Amino acid sequence: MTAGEKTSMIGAWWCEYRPIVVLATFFMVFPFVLPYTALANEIMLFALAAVAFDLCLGYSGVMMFCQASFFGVAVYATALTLLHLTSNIFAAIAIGVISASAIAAVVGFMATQRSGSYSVLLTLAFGEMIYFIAFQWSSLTGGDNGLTGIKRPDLGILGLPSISLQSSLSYYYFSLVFFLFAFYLIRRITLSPFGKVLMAIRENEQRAQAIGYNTRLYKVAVFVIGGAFMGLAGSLYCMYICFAHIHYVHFEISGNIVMMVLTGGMGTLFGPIVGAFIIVLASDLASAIWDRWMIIMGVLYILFVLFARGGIWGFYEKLLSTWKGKNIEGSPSEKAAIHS
Amino acid sequence: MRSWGAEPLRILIGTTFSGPYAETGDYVRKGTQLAVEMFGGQVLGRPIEIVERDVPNPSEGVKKAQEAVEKLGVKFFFVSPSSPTVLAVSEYAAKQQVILIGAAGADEITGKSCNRFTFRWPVATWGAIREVVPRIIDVYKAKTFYTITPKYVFGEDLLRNTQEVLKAKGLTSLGNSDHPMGESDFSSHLTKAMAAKADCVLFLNFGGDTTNALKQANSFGLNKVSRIACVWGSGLTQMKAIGPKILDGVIWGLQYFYKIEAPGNKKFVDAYRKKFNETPNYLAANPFTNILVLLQSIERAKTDDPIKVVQAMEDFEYEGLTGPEKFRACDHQAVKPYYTLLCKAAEAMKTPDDFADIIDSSTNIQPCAETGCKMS
Amino acid sequence: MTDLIIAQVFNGLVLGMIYVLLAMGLSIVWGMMDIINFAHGLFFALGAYLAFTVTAWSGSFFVCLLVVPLATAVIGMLLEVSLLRRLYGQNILYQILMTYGIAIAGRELIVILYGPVGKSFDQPELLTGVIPIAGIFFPIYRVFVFALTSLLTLGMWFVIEKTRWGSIIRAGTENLKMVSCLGINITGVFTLTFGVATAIAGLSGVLAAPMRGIEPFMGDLILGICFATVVIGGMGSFTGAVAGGLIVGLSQSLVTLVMPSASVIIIFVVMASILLLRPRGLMGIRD
Repeated sequence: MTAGEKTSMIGAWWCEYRPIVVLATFFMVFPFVLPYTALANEIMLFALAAVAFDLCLGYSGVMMFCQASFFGVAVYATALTLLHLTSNIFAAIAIGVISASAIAAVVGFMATQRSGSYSVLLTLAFGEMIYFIAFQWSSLTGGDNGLTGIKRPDLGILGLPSISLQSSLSYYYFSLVFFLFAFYLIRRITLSPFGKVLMAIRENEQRAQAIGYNTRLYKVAVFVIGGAFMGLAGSLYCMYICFAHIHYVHFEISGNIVMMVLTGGMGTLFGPIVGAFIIVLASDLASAIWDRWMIIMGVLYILFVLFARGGIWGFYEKLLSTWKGKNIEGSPSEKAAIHS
Repeated sequence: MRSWGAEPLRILIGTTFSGPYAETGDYVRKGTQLAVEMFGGQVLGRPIEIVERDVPNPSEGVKKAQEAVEKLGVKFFFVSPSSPTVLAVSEYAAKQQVILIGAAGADEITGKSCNRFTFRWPVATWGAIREVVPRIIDVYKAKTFYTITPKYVFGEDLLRNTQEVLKAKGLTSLGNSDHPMGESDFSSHLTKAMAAKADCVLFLNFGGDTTNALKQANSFGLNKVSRIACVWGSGLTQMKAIGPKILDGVIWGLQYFYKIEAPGNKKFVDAYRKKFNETPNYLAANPFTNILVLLQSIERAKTDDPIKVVQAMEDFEYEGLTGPEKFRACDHQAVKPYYTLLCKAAEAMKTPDDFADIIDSSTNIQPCAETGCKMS
Repeated sequence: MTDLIIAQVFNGLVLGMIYVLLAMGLSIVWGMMDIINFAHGLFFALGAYLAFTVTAWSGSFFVCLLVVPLATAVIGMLLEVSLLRRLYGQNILYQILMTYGIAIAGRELIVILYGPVGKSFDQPELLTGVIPIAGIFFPIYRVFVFALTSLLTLGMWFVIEKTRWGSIIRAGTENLKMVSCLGINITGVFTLTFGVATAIAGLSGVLAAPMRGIEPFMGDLILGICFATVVIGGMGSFTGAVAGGLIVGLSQSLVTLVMPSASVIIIFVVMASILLLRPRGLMGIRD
């Protein structure tokens, strides 16, 4: 290998992995910047859910109001696993993710029967039904009391001594590994041929169908993949807070995730992380300062729709392009915003 | 007078300033302020710092508890008024070994979910029902009952206890109507209640649900058919919102009423009236008595180590708002009476707060062995 | 038992008529202007709260019936002109986001002005009491609400079927482009239509206040039912709004007889079924 070839290889590697490295560095330092560690967990796990939803909305144009169903079902599944089945942390996560994916497959199949606002309303109805079932089936879910007594397991890999995950910080780094891996996977998906089809569906579904793609299948797939990752977030969340409750299948969680993606900048994967940061932090800090902080959120949403369609990340990308003097014909987030 | 440089002793007050129980927060704040003031503003030579947090649901409760412990080093929590929130925080508090005083009524708080660090002052649903329902049977000769129950775990607790009491007395419940959370239209439930023609209709809900239910009951003329009774409530604030026209003849079971004749209560009511220019209700009385007892216990234990303070609080008899009270050691439940009141017509009211008179009261508490509490 | 059923049917009809009013407004806006208005519930809440203020200030409930719908119409039209107008023809996502933002901001404003606790709202003195018929008690106020809403519905029917504006609405719901091609000032029609929709929503809030009380989240809670009603009845159809509203109201009160805690979810189940099996709803014009 010549020196030139080596440099370009490194350059390519850097291009490919730079986002992950930057993300990893940021998140590793993150807990020390925040007032308390538990908050970092909260932000990171919702960021994961938001990134998963961005795959659905920003890249595929699939809107839904049932994110809480996937997130919350995983919380319950993990909780029940830890309470009744096993204390193996990987089994708990696996069961959580599989449950969420199963629900996502069913809901996705039915919601994609229709399109546009009807599809969205269907997801809303299913979200409400799952909430109702969780509430009524109190012998399983604990109803409005929720499930307590969940013990966060320690990390035990075959042969090695088990690592304690009981402290907020250690559990944070454990979840971080999953977060980075999930982000990497989702990003790979967006850059793959599969991802290109998703974007084609977002831009013009009929044309994609005309070319010969079974768009419904792709949309259901996106439900399942997005649902799986939202389930991963839910599963990790359950073990962070050691509590399962109907709150996590409530519409409010879905609404929050939608807002994170929209304010952060959809179709960018990084935007939703920023969105999660803002929304979780705002609700945490603001409620201590002013009870009625939500009015600012409401006004912000209106302003975003009027002036900043690409969300915060879109704004940042615009700044970046103007500063660099390049003539980028439209940042990815704005492209996503216009064409969805 | 503040001691220079002394680390403040922080108490987390987790209550609701938003959502359906938003009014609670304001009263909790007042009760807490009064307690700290009456105690002198400092304990163990350290200034007392109250940390207020809005906890509208159990998830927020745990998060704020985490913030309090990790960021602020808080060792004492007071959480009101929702049972699910208290239960969720109780578990976390026990893990972190900090004291939680929970102001909610679910039996299991000092029952099967009890732990060494959680204390509870209000009488649990078990004890509340065993004062109100037998009282209605004796005084009003009611033999048949109809219940309207909110679909909360707590509501189901009230219902279960009611059915146990009725069965023990050989009486019948003519039926029950569950209403979903935050039901605003009771017309269907009231129609069912009226069709049942029971001697007494028991409203097993609380807060805004009760207020709504009673007003709508009045518009349907339920009081022409049955006696009306509520078994749980905050007292004065609700009565003010409903008004004597609708309240006349309604029986109400309460944890606390300002008319309780006890020296501890007289001191409290006088001081509260002086400071806030209004008569106190249960929502303010609860934090008042609990914070005061907590501070006294910390002083007696001569340390803020929660384990030692727990020992100081257990089985210690103090002069409370209802007379001599104590937190019994086996489950940390306060031993105190529950009160049955009869509301009166507008003409019979001697003062603007004179909505009801206390008919009777009794202390009913489950024997330690039966609560299901296994304190480790 | 029949007593109970009759009483429940009456309750369901009264409740249903409130939903009819709300559905009419939502359906016209959605069907004709293609706007999904997540702030529709806000006008319901505004109606109730404004009624509270106007009654306190004027001493009379009946004044509210006139003044409050006018007020909510004005607020609605202002919103339409300043904000919603920019969303026509755009992705539903932005409509959802903006109207949701308006709903949140509006609700929080209510809390700032009126406090977080619900307000109690008494029935007007004139209408208190019950009419006993064959052992069943019919609250006078609810009879009044039923009568008034029925009259209003008939009035709306007349306007939509027999007036020029009504025919523009009907035409616009079917084919908007054609209507503007015919030279009709669509912008003005839109604003007026939105005003009418919010006026009716405000009125339903006034009427509902003495029955169910007033609290800041009442708009959020009723929004889901509003959407379900429009879906079930059929978007863009007047008779659909009436049918949908009555069906939803009756379902709720009759389900309470059998499984009370399911009275809200049954509506969503029906909505989902309609969406899957017959998306245009019972009487809608297009899918």
